[in-house]
Amino acid sequence: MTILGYYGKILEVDLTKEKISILSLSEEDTYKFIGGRGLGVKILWDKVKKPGLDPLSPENPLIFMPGPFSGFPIPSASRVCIITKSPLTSPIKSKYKFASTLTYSNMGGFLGPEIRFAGYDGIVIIGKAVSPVYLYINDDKVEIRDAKKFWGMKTNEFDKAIIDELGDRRFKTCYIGPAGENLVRYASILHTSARGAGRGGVGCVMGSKKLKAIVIKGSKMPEVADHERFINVLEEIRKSFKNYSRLQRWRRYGTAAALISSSDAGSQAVKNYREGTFLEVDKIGGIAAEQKLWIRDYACYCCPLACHKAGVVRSGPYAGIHHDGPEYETGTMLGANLLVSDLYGLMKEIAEVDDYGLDQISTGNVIGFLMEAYEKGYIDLKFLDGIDLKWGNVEAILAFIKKIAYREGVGDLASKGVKALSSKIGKDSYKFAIHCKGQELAAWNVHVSLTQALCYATSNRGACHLNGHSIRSQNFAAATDSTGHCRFATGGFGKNGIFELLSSITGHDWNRKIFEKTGERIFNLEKCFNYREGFRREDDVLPPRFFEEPLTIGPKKGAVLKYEDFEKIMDNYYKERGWNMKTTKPSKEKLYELGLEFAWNEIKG
Amino acid sequence: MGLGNPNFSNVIVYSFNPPVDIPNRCVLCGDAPCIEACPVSPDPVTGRKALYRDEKTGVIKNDKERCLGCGSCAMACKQKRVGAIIPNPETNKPERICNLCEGDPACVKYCPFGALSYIKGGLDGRHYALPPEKIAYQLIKLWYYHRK
Repeated sequence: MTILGYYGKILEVDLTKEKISILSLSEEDTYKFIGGRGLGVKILWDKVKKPGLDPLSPENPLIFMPGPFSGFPIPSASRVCIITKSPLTSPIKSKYKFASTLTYSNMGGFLGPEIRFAGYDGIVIIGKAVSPVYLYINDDKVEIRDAKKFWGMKTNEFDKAIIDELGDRRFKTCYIGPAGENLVRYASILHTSARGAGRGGVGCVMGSKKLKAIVIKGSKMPEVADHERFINVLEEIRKSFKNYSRLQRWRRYGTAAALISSSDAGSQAVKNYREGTFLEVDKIGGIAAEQKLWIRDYACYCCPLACHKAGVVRSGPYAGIHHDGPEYETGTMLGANLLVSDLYGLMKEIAEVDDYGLDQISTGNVIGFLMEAYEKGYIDLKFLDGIDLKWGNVEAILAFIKKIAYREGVGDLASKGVKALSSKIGKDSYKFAIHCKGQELAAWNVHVSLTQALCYATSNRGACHLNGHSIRSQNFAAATDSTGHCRFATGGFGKNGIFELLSSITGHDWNRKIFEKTGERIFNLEKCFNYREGFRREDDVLPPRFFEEPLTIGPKKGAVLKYEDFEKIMDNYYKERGWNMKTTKPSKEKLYELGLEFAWNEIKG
Repeated sequence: MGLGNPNFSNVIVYSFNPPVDIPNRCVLCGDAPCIEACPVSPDPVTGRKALYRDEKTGVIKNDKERCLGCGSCAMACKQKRVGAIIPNPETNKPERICNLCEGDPACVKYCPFGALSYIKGGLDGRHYALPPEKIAYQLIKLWYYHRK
């Protein structure tokens, strides 16, 4: 049966059995979960039938999902969401040894559209190859190919080598680096050597399958339900983007614009989240980078924002290095958070982290934690294998990044994340181990914003800055991650552009209300997955730092959160969600209302 | 018509590492090696081969009736110029020769960055009629490696 706007086909590759097959989608699922994150989570739910699955076991599916917008010339419809069971997160207690949350990590570029051009609504990888392989997809021609000679290669080199091997520049590729191969828990999946799906350890799962890369090229096109309406809506949206008030800001600075504005607002992660303002931020902010570093703006597929800034280091010991950034996240986590104000040194760090295939956010957070523990005397030089991790020491940071990627010495422990490091180091180090559910917080600091605390604490993939500050924004975000377009561009679509597009593509009547309800359904299914694993209210917490150590510098000096305010906002949150306040268990009524009866059957207990 | 697979576009963007994106398309070369390579005898009345230039618009056109589907034009374009001509997979007759959209090129109209413009070009431009690899090599050297 055809499903309008979709192929109705997911490519499924079993690396153990070396079997390639097609998984049929149901129209019910595409309507209820859209695509991207939503449909990926539903597929994960269907594949992982029991709690406690080892995320690094062959049974854990690694799911690449574009959305129904992907493959059309819709502004910013460039994203692909990678969904799997996270190897990084864990609950405080659970009866399952391998309990962890699911994770979804999203990246732009050209991969999402190309999956649809090849004739698929998504790709599911299961099993584990005996020796390193890569997956070759050229429309219906799908092959598991030997990748022994590429194993160990860093990502920038591989990005070039694989195109040479294929002899066709039109292939779109994604791949892991040494960090993913070595099963660093927060390894990323890279694309175009600078775009990455970093969070939650998707690269680690890919490494566990001995899958170095996926290469894909397609000559097909998805079809829409109502062609005329689609073209009209698209013209409207193109006009709307031209008038988008933030377009020029995005185009000129990308997210780097926030380096200075966030620092001024006291909301930046500085010195392992001890402060919210970086006094030297001007040296690494967007204006400095524009003057000293950036060369060109680059756009993802069909995107009018072009927020990707390619730069080259002009002088000093790192002269000649080219990479993108600093963005807000990379510039904060490896810059402000480590008190690095040397723009060229920061650029070298960012380039190295991507080259090894590590998550920029978790890597910066882990190193920030160790710097603080080292300064406080909780660990010594010997613990750090002789690496002098003092604040702002770029050479030491670079040496440590390598340790993590290859899991050498102390890098082995550090490769498991800040939660593991803190429990090894002990004492009261948990107070400044900045994670939630085992996933490291991102570059937005918490002292100044109670809703930022809620955002991190209630995210279904462990600490996530993109989760949303209210129930409504969380629901909207979950649905947005499911269409294939980019969050940064959402404002450009106009009031109803996204829903009009969905309607013309799928033939169903979409509006804001249905869209948000769909997001709520996705969010609740994710929650059910985590609840089944054993995550409870005691896991929805943030480290004491934000409640006990007020900011000491900057315009928001003195800012700190109160525990009772946090408890109150969380009480209200669960109540409004229709979840049990003590356990966070979603109610039967809520799940039935959302059409998630199947999930209720799993968690009713 | 299809909706948006750029592999079918007359303009194909090739991406390189370090990042340089080169939009590759038929540039309607003044000396047209593709027409020169066309083996079809000129029509005694019009003087046109199967592949010919429309004198009024300057656009290069293919007379499908007379075209043999030999692929010589695509080969000439690939060897001497940008490789924009891609033979039809079934008939092997040339496709993707720029027709300037009847004087109102859609690529220019839709470029969100205003990077494309429709102007009369000369044969002496720095990147005139070069294949994407060569342009990319020049730009990478210029932008990224000049300090090394």
